[in-house]
Amino acid sequence: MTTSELGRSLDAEFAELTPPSAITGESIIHKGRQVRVRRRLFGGGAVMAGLAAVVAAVLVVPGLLPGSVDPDAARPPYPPVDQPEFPLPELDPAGMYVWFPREDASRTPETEAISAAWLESVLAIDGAIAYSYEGEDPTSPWQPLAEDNYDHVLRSWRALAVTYPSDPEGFFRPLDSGEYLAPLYSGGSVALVFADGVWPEELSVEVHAKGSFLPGVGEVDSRSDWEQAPYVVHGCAGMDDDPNVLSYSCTNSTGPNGEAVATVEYSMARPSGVASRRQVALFRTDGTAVVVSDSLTPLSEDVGIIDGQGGDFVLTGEDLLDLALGIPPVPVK
Amino acid sequence: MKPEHEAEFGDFVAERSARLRQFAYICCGDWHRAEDAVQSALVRLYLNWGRPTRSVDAYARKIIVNILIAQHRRLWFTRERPSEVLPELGSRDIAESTGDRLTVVRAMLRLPERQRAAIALRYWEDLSVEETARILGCSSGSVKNLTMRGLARLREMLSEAVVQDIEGATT
Repeated sequence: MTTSELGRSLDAEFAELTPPSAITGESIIHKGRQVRVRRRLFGGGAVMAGLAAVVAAVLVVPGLLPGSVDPDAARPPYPPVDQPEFPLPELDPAGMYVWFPREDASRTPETEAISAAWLESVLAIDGAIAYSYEGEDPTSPWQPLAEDNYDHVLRSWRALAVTYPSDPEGFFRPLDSGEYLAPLYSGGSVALVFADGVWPEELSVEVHAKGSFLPGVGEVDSRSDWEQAPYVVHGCAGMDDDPNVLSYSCTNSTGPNGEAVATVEYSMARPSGVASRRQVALFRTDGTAVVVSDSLTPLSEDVGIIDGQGGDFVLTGEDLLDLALGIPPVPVK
Repeated sequence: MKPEHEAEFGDFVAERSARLRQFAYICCGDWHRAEDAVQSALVRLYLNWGRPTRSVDAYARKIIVNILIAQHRRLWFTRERPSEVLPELGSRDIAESTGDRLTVVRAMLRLPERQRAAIALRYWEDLSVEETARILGCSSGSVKNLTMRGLARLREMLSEAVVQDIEGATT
């Protein structure tokens, strides 16, 4: 087989394997027109004014932004928000579940409200230079964070899939009851550089819809590394079985409004060095959950390395909790 | 967009979307993700249709690669695997249709993602090293390295009888 025959083999195999597609020129043009209209709207003053109103309504609630609250004082409860519910399907205890991304991400007034609050909180962190990649292109070099290059928090969808220990190859597949989809606000990637030559801390945020997860932390499953579904974070159970894990800790606490808070930290050996991560999951009283993640890692070579050596986190778990508490309680739908 | 441009775009989708889905599948190993990525890429292409570009095909592939990298990057920690090898997610369809036979597609899916993308672009799409480098956002030297290592691993996985004549690319 020559290299050209390699290509012909792929053609021949794909002729048998390729499933039917729903993509047509008409469907793409229709979606493209929708996106174009949405961009015009988001660029216009009317929606920005509406967004400003949403943000303002959130920000006038005292104590929702990090740094604005005495940590010893209880925050007032969130204003009541009627959160739509996305109840999980019946789960098989013998199954192992994973999340898959589904559908194109999009922005909504709610995501923009989250973005605005997140951006404000991150920029308020002292002693760091914040970087972001440009727009939605993660292959572009990271650059100092500014409004016009900020990677906004997006609404995306994720699907739940399952496999079973008896499956010899461990492939995942949609649930028997059909694919379960749940909305997820995800993004806000910002790299904070606190000192030259030190790996940046990369922050991100997720907001999970009411009912779309199980409360608490998942278990690291040796059958498939680090799967967490249907939880929003994995806990420490099972980490002892992973030879790559160097250290870990998991703590549970209570937030200022009675929320359950799970903090997970771990370091693990990777080809590029020791990668460390700290996550705070805030289970809000309205049924939603906010997960703030802080990864101490070199930026990918795909996006331009900020060179340096690993070290310790500058941001604490309490800092991350403050960031999570600063996410406005907009409807997650 | 003018009607004639939309018609032109529709023709492009009709002619190329199947091939682009197959390329996306080689990159990610999941038909659903491939479909999503191609759909997103085509929408972005629609929004930029008519702007000067060297090759619409290459531009579409670059968008697909970017989308898949973005997804993979978001999943980097949640999937947290000790190597850059993508999980064999979604390969059940191949397993069902080919039994235990190790096909070229299956072997490709066991390669690290950038290696399989580089091999697909070089030897399936017949692109030059420089064009492949532009799509993958890396140097020509990296492309040569990726294809060399990828073909070497294919050799390990496929029988010598199948790949013994894959020559030239690694020498």
